Amino acid sequence: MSNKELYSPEGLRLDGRRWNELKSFTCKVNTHQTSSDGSSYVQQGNTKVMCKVNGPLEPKSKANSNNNNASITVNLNIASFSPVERRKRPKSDRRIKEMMTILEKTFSETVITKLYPRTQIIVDCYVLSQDGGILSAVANSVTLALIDAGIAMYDFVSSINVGLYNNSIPILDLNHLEEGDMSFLTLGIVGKSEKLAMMLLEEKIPFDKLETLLGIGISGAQRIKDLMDEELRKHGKLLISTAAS
Amino acid sequence: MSFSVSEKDYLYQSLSSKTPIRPDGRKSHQLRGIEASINFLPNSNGSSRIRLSDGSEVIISIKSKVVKMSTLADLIELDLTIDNLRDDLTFISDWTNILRNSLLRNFADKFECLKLTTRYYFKLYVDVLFLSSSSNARTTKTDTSFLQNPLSMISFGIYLALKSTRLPLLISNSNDKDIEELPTFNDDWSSTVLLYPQDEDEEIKENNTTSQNSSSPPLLFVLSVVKNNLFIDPSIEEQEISDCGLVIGWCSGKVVSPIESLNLNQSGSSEYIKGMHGQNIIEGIKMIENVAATVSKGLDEIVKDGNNSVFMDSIF
Repeated sequence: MSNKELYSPEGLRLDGRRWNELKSFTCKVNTHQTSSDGSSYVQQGNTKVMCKVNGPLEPKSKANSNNNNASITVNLNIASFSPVERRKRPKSDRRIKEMMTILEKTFSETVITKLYPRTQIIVDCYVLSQDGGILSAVANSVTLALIDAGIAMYDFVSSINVGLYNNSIPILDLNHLEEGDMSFLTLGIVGKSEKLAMMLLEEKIPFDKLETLLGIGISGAQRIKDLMDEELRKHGKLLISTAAS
Repeated sequence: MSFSVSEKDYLYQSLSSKTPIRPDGRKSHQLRGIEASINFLPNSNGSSRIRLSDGSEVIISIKSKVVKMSTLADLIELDLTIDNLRDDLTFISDWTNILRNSLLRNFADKFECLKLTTRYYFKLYVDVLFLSSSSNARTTKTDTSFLQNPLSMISFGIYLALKSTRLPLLISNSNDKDIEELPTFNDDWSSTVLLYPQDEDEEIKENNTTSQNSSSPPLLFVLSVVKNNLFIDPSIEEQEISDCGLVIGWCSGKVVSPIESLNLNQSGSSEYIKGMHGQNIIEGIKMIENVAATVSKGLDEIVKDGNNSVFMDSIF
């Protein structure tokens, strides 16, 4: 990988973006009307993620029942065909388990769970194609699907990753080549604020660089939030116009 | 699907009568409508997605890899994932075997297309992701009573995905009997070759004088048997009360193996499993002969649309 120049002296990355540019972001909500209560599809560059939310419903087992709050279960399914080189991961893969736990924790805080006591919310995520930033794409799709399901939340969770190139240059929204070669931080932001809801660091970064990375990440995530908001409002208008006619 | 005794009885009566009435009003040889798209996975050689109106969905990816020659049967690997179910369940491996065998048996002249040199072959990985419409109704991770038989839908998907599969063009020498060399490829996607060339493509037609143009991937049809009546593409309600199921393969204009009976009733209530009359099989084959050509023609239209348009960025 080291023979490739990830960041040219002119300030361009392998895919032609500058350091602070996002991958093309598109999203759709309500993609699986019949099979779920809320659903979404998020595409960040070549990363494609589908998400289905079912619930709040009666818990399948007593273990998932909580008298005061709703319990959120996240299932993450990374398709074996999604990476460039086909790789089948077992269900018990530690990386997948880790991501599932992070997502469950994040969304248990963001959803107003006290409104749905003794219920379970099941979130199924499917990664169809990956090109870096799986966790952030999945987190964005879960936000959209939860909103589509009409589940009360405090605010959006919008997520993005930032990497540190050569221990000096921060780079926003990495692709899979860049992810393989530098340490990076995945973060999730609550709404338009600067509050962190989720954070995951791969490898390590010097402590004095953390603040710069966070700053860039937060502004990137806020941009993602705007894009998601735009799509949701568009969808809402469509719903109203079809209901009126 | 859990029906009450009277509901089941009503369904059984209406389906077993002389002029059967299906719950969704279809004719006995009428399939459910599908929504399909192809070529949307950037990391795969071919891909397809099929959705039914009940919300079930199948996503198929075909990926290729260069391997050293072993046996021809190793050149196709099929992997079936259903919702979040464990993949060591018996019926999943049964279905995988039916699908894989039907592909291998009807792939005969296509193995030639996978051959690169005397030593190297393309290996195809067929990955199937099936999302059932009722995953939320399931009580445990191993509960399969809500699962409908997806074989026919998956085989349609594989048909579409294989027909949209493009393989890289070999630029190194194809004869490496004497000097061993690693195959190299043209890295331009626009010069890739379709695994199943389209008939309209005059250029390809001239090059391939063999019968390659007419061959196509196999399709599987699932029939539900209720007394003397046969129903193609049964919905989950019909599967629940059928005496027996029948899966019939069809490839390049004729009925092919597998012709197998199968249990459509996943919930395992044995009162409705009765077996079938031999005459039913003959009638089933006749029905498929009448219907299959239209189905494959319809699927070919989807392929034609998809392969001629630019790469699909989004499936939604």
